[in-house]
Amino acid sequence: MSDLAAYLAAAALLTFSAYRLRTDRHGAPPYQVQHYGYCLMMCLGLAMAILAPATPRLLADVGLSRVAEILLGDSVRIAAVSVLMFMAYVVARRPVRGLPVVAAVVAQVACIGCFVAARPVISGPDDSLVTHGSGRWLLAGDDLVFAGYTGWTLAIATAAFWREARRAGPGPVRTGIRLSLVALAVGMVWTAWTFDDIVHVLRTGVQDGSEDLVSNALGALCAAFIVAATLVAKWHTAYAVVRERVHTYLVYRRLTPLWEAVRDELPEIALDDRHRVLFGGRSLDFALYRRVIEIHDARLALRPYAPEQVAEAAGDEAHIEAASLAAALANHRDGRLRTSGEPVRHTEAAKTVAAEAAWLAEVANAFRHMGKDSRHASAAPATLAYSGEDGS
Amino acid sequence: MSNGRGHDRSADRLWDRCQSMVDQLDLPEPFDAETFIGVLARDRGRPIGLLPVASRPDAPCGLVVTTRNADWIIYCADTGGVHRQHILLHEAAHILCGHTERAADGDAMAAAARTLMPHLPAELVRSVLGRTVYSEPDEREAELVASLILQRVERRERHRARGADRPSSLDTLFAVFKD
Repeated sequence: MSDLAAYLAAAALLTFSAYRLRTDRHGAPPYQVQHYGYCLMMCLGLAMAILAPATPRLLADVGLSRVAEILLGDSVRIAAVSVLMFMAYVVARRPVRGLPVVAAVVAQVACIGCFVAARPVISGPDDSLVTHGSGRWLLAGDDLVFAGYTGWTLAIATAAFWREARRAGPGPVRTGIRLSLVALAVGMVWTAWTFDDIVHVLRTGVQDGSEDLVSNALGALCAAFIVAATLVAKWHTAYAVVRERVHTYLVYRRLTPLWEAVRDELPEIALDDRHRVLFGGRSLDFALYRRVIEIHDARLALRPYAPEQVAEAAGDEAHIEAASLAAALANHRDGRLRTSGEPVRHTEAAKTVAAEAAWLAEVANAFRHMGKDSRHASAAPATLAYSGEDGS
Repeated sequence: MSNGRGHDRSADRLWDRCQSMVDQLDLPEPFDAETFIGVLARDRGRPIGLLPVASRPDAPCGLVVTTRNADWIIYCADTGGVHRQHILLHEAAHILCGHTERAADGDAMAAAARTLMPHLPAELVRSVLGRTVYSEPDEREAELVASLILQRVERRERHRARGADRPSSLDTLFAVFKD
């Protein structure tokens, strides 16, 4: 169970970070923070894999001693903490030089030094590290340096992320920062769990070589929150894209009755009647754009057939436009040209395709609900008095 | 409602050719059809005049009139903003595609040009192209190019809007998939 949690978390962290490092090769600010993030995940994943209980058996086959494997795992773990420290500095908009670099080197050297000087040996059925005499103090010192350095780093990272969380507006970025804060909180509990090792080493001179179940569970939880924090933007973006596609498709569908009505009467407006409207492709945007342009072409072409007067009692611009178009279509079918010299009333539509499509969709909706399909009307008056939905 | 595989293939070829041409265009940012046409005129070393007119039942909503010294785009101004831009781009597409260099005077279009530009001596006019029906290959090509130009502009605007909300370093961390 402990192995499973460690290996699953390690696999998630390593796969994700390797994929991102491979696909994103920009290392300059502001992308620096991304790279520290991926390196952190990679180091955490490596450390968890190396220190998992089942790993020694695997590494023994390649000739790596158990002591060396524990030292390697600890070193990678400290490297992960250092990367988190650098990342916190970047987040806090501070240069990564001086104190964080010195602290990283000192922590790494001190831990390796204490570990080597303690001269631990592997003993017992569960492959524990055992040391004697002053070795206890050195091995405990190794744990203490690790816990202290990690706690300090987590405090700095929490402060940096906390400030950004307060600054960020609602959205996926703030959600990502909050999930990172949860990951940092789990990391603190994970670090605090190290103190039982210190007490145990001082009392008995024995330290478990591998991470225990609680440590690995906390590590897996921490990894899950880190990955979730990074993926939240992807989910949010994917959701936004799907929502946009659905919206575009619905607007396209809403325009269809009006477009078909004008296209049947004025087939020359259609550029292509064999659009392959794919859900999610560029062709959907193109098809919607063409509908907007072709309906506008029809509006212009129908101006000479516009009714002499449209009652504006309906109030709503879309309903008036729909009534005017329906009357013009009927007049065009009957060859009834406008006789008045008065300029044709026309609504100045919006300035973007999306806004124009939205407005035309309202017109199309009104057109559909008029109850008078101009394609089938046998005759229509040159002057169309439109009654609104309220019957006025 | 296809007219057959041959028609499909030729339509696809036309689409590919237009898309390739549009992809290579330098589009001003922010985009505006009039600015784009200004740049086109400068690049060609030949002026392009823009003449907005009110829509008329006896004239197409857009015309490009080629004279010895300049091209004139006559366009319907009393329509929606996107539609107006589209009409302008359709006429500009005729120039881009080289249609104005080989177009012959059509009687109807020439008459429309005389109506809309009564002071222009007829002997100066070399060709007139009007935005009418898309059964004509040149009209179809110009209409497709105009549509694809505005599609490219729309896509660019959308990408810019998506990328606009990343002011801090943490934004880049949590917005890694936005690109």
